Amino acid sequence: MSSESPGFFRQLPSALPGLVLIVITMMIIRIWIEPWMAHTKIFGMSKPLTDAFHLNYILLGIMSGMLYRNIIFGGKIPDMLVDGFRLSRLMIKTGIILLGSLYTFSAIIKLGFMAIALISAFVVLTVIMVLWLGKTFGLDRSMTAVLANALSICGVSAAVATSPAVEAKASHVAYAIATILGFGVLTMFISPTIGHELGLTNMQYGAWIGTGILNTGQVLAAALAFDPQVGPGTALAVAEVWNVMRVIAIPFAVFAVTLWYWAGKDAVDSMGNRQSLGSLLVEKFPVFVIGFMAMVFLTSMGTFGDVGVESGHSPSATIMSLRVTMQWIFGFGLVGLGGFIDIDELRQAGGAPFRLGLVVGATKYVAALLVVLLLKQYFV
Amino acid sequence: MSFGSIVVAVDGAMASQDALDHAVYLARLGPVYLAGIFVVDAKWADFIGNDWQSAKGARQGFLDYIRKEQEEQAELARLQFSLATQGMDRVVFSVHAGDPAEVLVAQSGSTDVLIASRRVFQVSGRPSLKSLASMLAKKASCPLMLFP
Amino acid sequence: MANEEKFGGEETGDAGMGNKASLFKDDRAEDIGAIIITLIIVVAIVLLKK
Repeated sequence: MSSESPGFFRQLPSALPGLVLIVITMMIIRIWIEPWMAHTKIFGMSKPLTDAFHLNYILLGIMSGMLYRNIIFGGKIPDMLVDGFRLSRLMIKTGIILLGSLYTFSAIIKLGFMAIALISAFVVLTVIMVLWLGKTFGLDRSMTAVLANALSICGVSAAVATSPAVEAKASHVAYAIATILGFGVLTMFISPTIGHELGLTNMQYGAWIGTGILNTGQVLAAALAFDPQVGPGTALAVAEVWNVMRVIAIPFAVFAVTLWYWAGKDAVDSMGNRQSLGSLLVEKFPVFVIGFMAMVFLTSMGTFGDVGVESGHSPSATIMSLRVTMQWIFGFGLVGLGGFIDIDELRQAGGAPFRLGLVVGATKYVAALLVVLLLKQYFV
Repeated sequence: MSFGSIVVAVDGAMASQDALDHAVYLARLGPVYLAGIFVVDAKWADFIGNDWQSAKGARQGFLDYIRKEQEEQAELARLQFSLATQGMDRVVFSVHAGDPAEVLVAQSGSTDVLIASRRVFQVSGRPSLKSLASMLAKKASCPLMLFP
Repeated sequence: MANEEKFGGEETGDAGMGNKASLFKDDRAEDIGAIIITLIIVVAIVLLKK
């Protein structure tokens, strides 16, 4: 089907109206609303919006995207604007690749090992919990498999990657996705406040949400919402390493869960439907991660000048410009992402996948926080 | 009450059987055109739009997979409709694509009666299709018959 | 089929277009698009700051 679509460049003009709306929204937020929030007084409290609710351009961007879809446009993004909103993923992927300029190889290896350790431990615990609860709640094998990957690796991305391989029914997956998205939206908004109230450092907060929030997109948003700065050692820089590790894990997780699923079915039945790990890797490996690694490489080689971590010097002008660009790109991308949060879909979620998703999601979210608090000295 | 045409939403599952049976009953009473329609839900791309870190074959592969399931469901609906309308002329079955609620609302503009089950299209649909009936009740521009 | 007589509506709609996830051919094309845009941004910034 994909071959039937006209090329990207021919569709680009149709994306302009939506893109213009996104850009104008983010400019209004950053140029007028943010400075206003930083000085305003409401009910005698000074700056309550930033101090008590920790609102910043990231959360406001997502909220305005949600506002457009759910209230202003009555439940859908109009056809005229939808192509522009669909470009939001391209922007976020571009932002992620640029994020590679925050790390040197030594930094990413150190963070990467911590991420792998924490993620692996939680993947194992989550999968065991899902398998057990799946039986308790009477879910079928395909639904259990989808939920196992969605709740342990990275939410909707893992759910959609797994579903075809385990023959999940569309309506079942829909409810799983709605649950995961709903939980993700909730945690995206409450995590920054919890993080600030507990006085977490960027490192602790990044490790917590990188492990505890289900969707990678929402991890990114929650990290920026906690600390809107883009730089080495920020919540974003920490959480994104967790994100990248999780995305790389998708093909492996799909493979593992497919094995489990088909092991319980007739051998004859499984012929031709099972994919090898090699073909899954070729098919499902996220290529933008290669771009991200290339950026890390270029940064480590000093291509963009001083990163401003180890040397104690201030970062080079090129690095500073890259960071400002990233802030804007993420801002635009997250307005678009907010436009894909449909409250009606989330409100209608229910049934056994919902109960299981909520129990496991909440357990993982709280457990990740406890682990980070217990191992405080390692996350500084 | 007399009318010239009836549109009934058919999804190939038990959910739409009562609505279909009643539509056939009414159509047999007089010279009435009966149209059965199935809507391939085109809103899935939007529904999973919040997911952005997919690799090749993940998101689009999923959409193609869902599409295949819906096409199979459309075939079941076609079968269900032709079984129920055996021996009748003035009947037509069509498959549309779009938001099921919007397609049915649009259909209500060109027919005299719209008949649907409250649970129609939920068999392979998104959660918000649960509110399809209330959307129809609000926006349909012709008399509407809703079945449980 | 003998018992099918068309009226109103069209026989089939186009389900393909509405079900596209992005403006790109597929996700991998989107990834490569992101890499190219990054390249343009980086080159532009490096040249401007020289």
